[in-house]
Amino acid sequence: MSEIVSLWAAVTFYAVASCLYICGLVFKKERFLSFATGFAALGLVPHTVAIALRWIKAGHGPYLGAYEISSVLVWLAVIFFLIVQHRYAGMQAAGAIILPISFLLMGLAIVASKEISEVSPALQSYWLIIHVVFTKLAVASFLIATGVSGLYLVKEKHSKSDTFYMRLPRLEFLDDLSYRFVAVGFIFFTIMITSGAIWANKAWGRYWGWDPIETWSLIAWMVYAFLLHLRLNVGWRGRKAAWLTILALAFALFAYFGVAQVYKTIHAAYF
Amino acid sequence: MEIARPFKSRRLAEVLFILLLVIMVIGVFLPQKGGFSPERYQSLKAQQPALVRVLKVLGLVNVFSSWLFFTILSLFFINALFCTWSRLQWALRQLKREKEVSKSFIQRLKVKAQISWAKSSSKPLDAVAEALSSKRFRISRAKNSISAWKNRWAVFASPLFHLALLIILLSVVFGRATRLEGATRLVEGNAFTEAPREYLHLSTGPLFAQEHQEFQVRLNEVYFDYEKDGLKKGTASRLTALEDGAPVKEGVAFANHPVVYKGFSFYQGDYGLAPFLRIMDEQEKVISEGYLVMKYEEDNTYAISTDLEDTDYSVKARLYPDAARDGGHLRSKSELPKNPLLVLTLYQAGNEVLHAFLSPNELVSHSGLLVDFDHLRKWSELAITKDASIPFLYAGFGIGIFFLAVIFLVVPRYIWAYVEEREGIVKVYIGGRALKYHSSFEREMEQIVESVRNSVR
Repeated sequence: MSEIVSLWAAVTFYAVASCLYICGLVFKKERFLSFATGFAALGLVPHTVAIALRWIKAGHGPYLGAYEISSVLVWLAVIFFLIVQHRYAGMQAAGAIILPISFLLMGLAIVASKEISEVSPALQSYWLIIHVVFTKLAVASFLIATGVSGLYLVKEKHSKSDTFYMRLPRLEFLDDLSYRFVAVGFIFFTIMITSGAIWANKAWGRYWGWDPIETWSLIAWMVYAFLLHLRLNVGWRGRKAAWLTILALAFALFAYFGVAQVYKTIHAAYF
Repeated sequence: MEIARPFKSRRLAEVLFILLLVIMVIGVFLPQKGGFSPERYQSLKAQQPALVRVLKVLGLVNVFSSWLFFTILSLFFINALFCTWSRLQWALRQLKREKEVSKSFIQRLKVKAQISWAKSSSKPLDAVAEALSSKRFRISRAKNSISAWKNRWAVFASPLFHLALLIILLSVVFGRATRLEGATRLVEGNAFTEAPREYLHLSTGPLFAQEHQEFQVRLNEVYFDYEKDGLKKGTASRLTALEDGAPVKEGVAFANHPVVYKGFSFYQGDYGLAPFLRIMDEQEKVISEGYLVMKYEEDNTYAISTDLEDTDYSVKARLYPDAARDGGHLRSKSELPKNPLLVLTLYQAGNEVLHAFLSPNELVSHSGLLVDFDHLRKWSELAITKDASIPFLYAGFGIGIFFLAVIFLVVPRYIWAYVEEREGIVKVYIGGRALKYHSSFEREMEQIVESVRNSVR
């Protein structure tokens, strides 16, 4: 199976899973949600094959260029989501948010250039691995947090009127789970920023240069720091925290994907 | 202290968060004078000069060096300082304070349960202690009550994380104030002396008070590393540090690997080829001699256009390091200096006086001038920095990440139990609290209560 065929197979499975998750939540069909999880898990198989083939073909890990970056991010997010479903009952409906976003990010991978980027001398550093791995772990965690927060908002709105929504996990549990994923993602994001700063100092003799991606990453970090601060110190919970979690993802995704398309940045060569 | 009250306000922290966010967003949206796209600033200045004047007054054309940004950062620092102190005091109180466990205290807690059973030979507090121990709680027993806790030390994580933030901010300020940043360009065999006159450009922080060290760094050799197809993989410079002319340290600078001597870091930067050119008159008196530091331009060639120092001559030259004729058209097959050919045009007072094709060791005579391309060497540009704040900054990063992980992954949990025996009935009141993740704490409490119930059944 070629890399592109595997990738398209994964995209197809994720597309079907997205539709089933949305239909399951909208039409309150639990069976749809179970099928959707099956399709998401099935999608992981060709997706893993596509990433492995890419790795072999490129001769380096999948961390250069929008295609590799988006593909691995989605792969991680789907794995995280399946683990959450396995560990906590009733979390399937969060897929109605997580899988469509993952599917869109896969779309970005599909349309991005598949040309193999050489690892330039400046990139030949173990800091690259640390920096990139933690970026992906952070964004994948934030994506799961957003999905869980979305489910919180749905449950909060409908749980009094409908037994389907009543069967979803308790609101307190959803709030806690979203909080945990934001917290873990924030730790990963912090490691990403600090490892980038240490690497920059090693490569160029300066740890911070207000490059647009550096600045947007710091902005996204501060948005999440603000959210956690509100949760810890002001007691923000529930709806307000859920909305801010969803908003914060926009900052993280823009820092991750958007900035290199809009601004001239030293990171542009890697996207 | 009353005066400190506004500074330790958490509301102030939130306002400062928002202000910092706003100013950073402005910094990336508005074209910045010294930013990564100065052309955007120049274009705005040309189109909207009045707007740029207003932005300048507000400090918004160089946001990250503006008084506004530094004011907000300073307030943030002060706020973090006071919050660290008050959080440290709070953490110490949490450790010291022994709660007086009573029925009413437990009933005021949000997470609580009550277990009752007929009095028997089993000791109720033993059952509670066993259930708590199985969940790895540490226990302190009194006559009728139990206090238990888990991860209590983690209350220090928050103040220590804030302390790390303070260390990072102080390191940044200290670094900016005392930093040295410069560059030098050396041809193989030449040496750089650590003195202001020797830098290609030099900038130092306002508190850089240190005497320049006057040691030397010699560029012994530049290595170009190539793929099989001739594409360049990387460049490295072998450097020797010299004190009073004697070598004291040797190292190779390449990407991600600076050579460090006396706190000065030498980073591999730009590189190129440097033909040695000598221009003489008919009597072989030297008019000018030296290396032409040529930068890579395009199609495997290097080029330069420069005035020759202390003369009225100027030169335009292109070097074909691996020259080949392709149907009469001159090209370079690779960047490797295998068969160098220098195409040189010499001008005197702006008028062309010589145009020649030169190979190494070749002497060309034209219009009363002798031009000699003696030999070819490589050159490297080395970025030089000295920043004493780096160890403190990295310490701040390490402490910060560690305690950030502790804040969110190690949650202090407290459980209290009180036993009441009356009229043959034993009642155990059990309650607790966690500093975060209340839902999972509730689950743990349910398991503990269930365990106690099972053991007394």
